[in-house]
Amino acid sequence: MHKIIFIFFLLFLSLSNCSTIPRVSYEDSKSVETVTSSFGSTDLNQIAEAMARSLLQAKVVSSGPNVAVITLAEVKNKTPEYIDTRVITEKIRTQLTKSGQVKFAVSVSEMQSQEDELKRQNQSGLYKNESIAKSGNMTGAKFRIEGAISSITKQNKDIKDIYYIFNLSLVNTETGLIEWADEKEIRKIEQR
Amino acid sequence: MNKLFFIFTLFFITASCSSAPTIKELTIRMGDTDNIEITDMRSVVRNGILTVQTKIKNTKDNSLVSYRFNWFNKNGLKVIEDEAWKPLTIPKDHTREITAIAPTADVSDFKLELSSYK
Repeated sequence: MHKIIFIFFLLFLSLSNCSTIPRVSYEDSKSVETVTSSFGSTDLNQIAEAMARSLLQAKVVSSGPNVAVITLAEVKNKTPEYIDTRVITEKIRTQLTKSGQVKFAVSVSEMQSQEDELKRQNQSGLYKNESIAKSGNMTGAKFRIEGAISSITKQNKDIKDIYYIFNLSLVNTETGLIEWADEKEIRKIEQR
Repeated sequence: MNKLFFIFTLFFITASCSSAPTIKELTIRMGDTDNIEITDMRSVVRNGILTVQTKIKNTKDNSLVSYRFNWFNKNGLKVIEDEAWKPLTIPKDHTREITAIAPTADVSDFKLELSSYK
């Protein structure tokens, strides 16, 4: 009798183990994601798209005789959440670059690798002279993109309401004038 | 007289060929979106970039709908890969206005995709 119970117990254990194996599937990276109310891929995509398209239509970018040269400055995260704002600005940069209407100069955070590469080519003595990328020929950005993301959260025992606001500006490096600015608002409600 | 008739027919054919596409032709629906009505859709080229303004009305219960635009060049080719779906909550009998800006200056045509989400 004990033996049978033991066998059943083992069978139950093995079956319950089977049901805990996670199932993995690939999903559409562009679909609406609502797993939790915290900042997610749908918010990131919405913000990047709205900002890139709005900037593309700005007169300073669309109607100048030359292609505008821009660099990425800081986007401050003023929310209590961890948000990698660099991902947002890089996504904006990718979309703008694809449009062909703007060019991006390396940002402060990418400067080190640019400097290292120039030094490697110019100072190592390993490269043919005619193929070396010369120092002192980098293009300075006429504009920089900077901004901030902030949030307001209100919560009771049933509802959590989160409001995000993302501001972005295009600043003329020489004059210090803000040539373009826009914002994107997102409001999410989580109900228990 | 025959010449006049010929000119009139030619004019009629040309006019009917160049007529603007209807809202229905410019919309792709996926899933259950029968309660979503597109009441207005217009486009304009602003600073060299195509801009679309659309009004969407929900005729039934509180509805979660998502949308995105497909952008085409003059040859009918998609200019970028699929956009991300954008969520929109529309209460019953409410109308929301969507403004979309094309991703490149060579966009000359568009289609709106509508879908419901949970």
